[in-house]
Amino acid sequence: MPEQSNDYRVVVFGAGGVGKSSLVLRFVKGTFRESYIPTIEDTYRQVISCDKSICTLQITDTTGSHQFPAMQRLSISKGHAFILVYSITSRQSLEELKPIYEQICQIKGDVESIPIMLVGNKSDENQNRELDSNEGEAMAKKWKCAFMETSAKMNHNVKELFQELLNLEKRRTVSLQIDGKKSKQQKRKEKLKGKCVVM
Amino acid sequence: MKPLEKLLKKQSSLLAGPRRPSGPAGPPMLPGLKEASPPLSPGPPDTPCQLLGRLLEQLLGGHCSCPAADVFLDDLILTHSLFLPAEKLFQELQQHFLGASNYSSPSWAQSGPLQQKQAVLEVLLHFMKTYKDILQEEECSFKLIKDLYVLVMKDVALYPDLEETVVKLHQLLEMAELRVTEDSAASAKQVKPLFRHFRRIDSCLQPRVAFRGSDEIFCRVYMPDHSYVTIRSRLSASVEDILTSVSEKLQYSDEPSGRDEDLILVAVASSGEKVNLKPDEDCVFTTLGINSHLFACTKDSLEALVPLPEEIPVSPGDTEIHRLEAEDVSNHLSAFHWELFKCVHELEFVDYVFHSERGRRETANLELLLQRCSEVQHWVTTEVLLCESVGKRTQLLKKFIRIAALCKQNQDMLTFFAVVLGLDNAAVSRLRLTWEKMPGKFKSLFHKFENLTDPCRNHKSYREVISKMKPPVIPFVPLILKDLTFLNEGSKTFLDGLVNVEKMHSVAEKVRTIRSYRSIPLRLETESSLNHLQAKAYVRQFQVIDNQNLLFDLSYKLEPNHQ
Repeated sequence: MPEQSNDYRVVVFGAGGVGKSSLVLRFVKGTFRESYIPTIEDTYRQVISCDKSICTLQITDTTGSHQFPAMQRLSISKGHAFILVYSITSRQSLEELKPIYEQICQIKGDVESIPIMLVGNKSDENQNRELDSNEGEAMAKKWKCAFMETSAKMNHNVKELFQELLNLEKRRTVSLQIDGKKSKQQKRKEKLKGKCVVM
Repeated sequence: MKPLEKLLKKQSSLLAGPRRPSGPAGPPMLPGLKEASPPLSPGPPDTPCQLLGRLLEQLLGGHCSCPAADVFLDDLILTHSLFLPAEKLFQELQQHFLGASNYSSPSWAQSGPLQQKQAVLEVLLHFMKTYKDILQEEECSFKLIKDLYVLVMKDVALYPDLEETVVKLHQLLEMAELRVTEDSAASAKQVKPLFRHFRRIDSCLQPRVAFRGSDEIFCRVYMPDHSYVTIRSRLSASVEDILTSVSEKLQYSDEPSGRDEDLILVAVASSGEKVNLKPDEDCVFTTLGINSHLFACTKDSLEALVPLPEEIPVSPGDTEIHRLEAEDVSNHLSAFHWELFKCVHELEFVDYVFHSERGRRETANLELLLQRCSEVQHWVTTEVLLCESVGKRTQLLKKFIRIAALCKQNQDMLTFFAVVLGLDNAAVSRLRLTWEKMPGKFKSLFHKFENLTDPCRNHKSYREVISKMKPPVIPFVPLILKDLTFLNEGSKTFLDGLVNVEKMHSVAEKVRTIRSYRSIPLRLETESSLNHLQAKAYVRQFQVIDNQNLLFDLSYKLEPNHQ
């Protein structure tokens, strides 16, 4: 039994408490919660379209603490695309992304062909803002990756973030929209999605 | 059921034969290392409290007391949980210490309070020495011991002769206290890796330390679509606790849902076999099969659950085993299994077999050792079946036979058995072409090994071999558990409300056998070769197939039936 090699794996990195899980859960389940439960490692699966067929989008939500260097390396080498999250309310959280970005470069080599999205989350907390959006943009430019500000809480730019990330993938055509025989597959997807929600 | 248990079940039904008469005589004593000790009469059956009284009476002589009294003391401490729960035991001890017990006999009455107190402390010290670091898990006992300690301290002024014993008691208590504080400090920093269910590459090379129920571990819980969340949980967590963590993580409880939407926890084996776990079950992590995973789902989706895809190490070319020397592999196996064996507390053996009779205490380390034993069996089978060329396969069989021989030489009978049983798996033994190519020398050696693992006449040949071994020895642990089970099922613990002393003595004798196996540390040369770290890492994290159907599929692919 082969490993599902046509899975498309997205890995979410960032310091503790910046909202990685909130973004992922908002995207996957459409929910948001104020309470904070530190993540160790979670992976969610969703059906998406890929090269006119369907495949599974695997989103791996990682830990913000630096407890498991070996696991971080493993997720990088297995990942196809990366989301680097910081909080606009913490300059420190952007700083903490640097070693992660460097490790991605080191393991993946040619980062320009790899979809990476730098994300400034908590855009709803403008009153506590420590980082201007153009600071994020500047960093993204330096890292040759895309940039976006989001709010998992207000559901702002969340779906867009994932769609945008998939658009960056040039080696295959991946999309959240399942096109082609839309009606049938869409139904299928909805059914699957319905099941996900039940869990 | 795990394959190993299945095997033992099969074997025990084979050798059941004429049913042994049950009764105080119990099954005959099995040959062990303690054979030499003189036959002891543990005395007639008695009520739990009278028994304790009798023990204290025998201990009145203080340090010069006879060896029989020491054995009696050890018997009682090792098996007290079956007839005299710790709370009751300490209550009684306290009464005795205060001279307020109901126990009466001429010699007890004649003895002075100092002697009586010393006898009580003797029991207490032995209890603490036996429990050692699981004392902290027994919160209730620990508290009672401290209560008793306070009483003792008050008495020291009156009885200066107690001082020597009190110092010992104080040291033991301090050590236990220290472990508690150290542990709570350490657990905040580090979570112990439980192999299989949360692999940690970076930690597999570190020496194994015993697991305790209060330890925190990581565990993946899967959803029907194979999404997963990793939760952090106490090793002893109940199914309900686990489900609560999962619901929290998934923000499940936020969603308005009816009662029938409640999550259930299911263990799914690689073969697709499902076990629905009850909410009040605890310590489930260590009882899972090798490639089993925990799934959380609703009742409706239970039917549709499919196991995770099998992780087969399909590396092109040879796997690690082909590159390593048999000596390295066997020494690292024995060294690792020694670590695992050493982690099992004496009382886990008693609790594992008798847990239906008392509140469940964790037997995690024993369960992990058993899990490992069946993992090694599957490893052998898997490696042989993943080897495509007939010539190399024969070489591999030879290598495994050499590994078995070397483990036997290390007096590591656990690994020896596991390797032989792995080669005896029907999916491997049916490979006629592979076996035919093997030199006669190896064939006859393997035949000898098969005889040694033969369960006939209650494992006579194995028992003969192991009885001649001097410690350190790693025994084939499943057989010890089978013997204990026979002891348990063959005779009652209580006879008309009186404790079956003979049975308790037999159980304690078994435990003492294990104690003597471990009385001398096992030292092996494991760092001689250049790639010893590779060998060590390989041996400590096997990837195996435990789905027998899949193993047969591979086997038929290698050598189809020609009939």
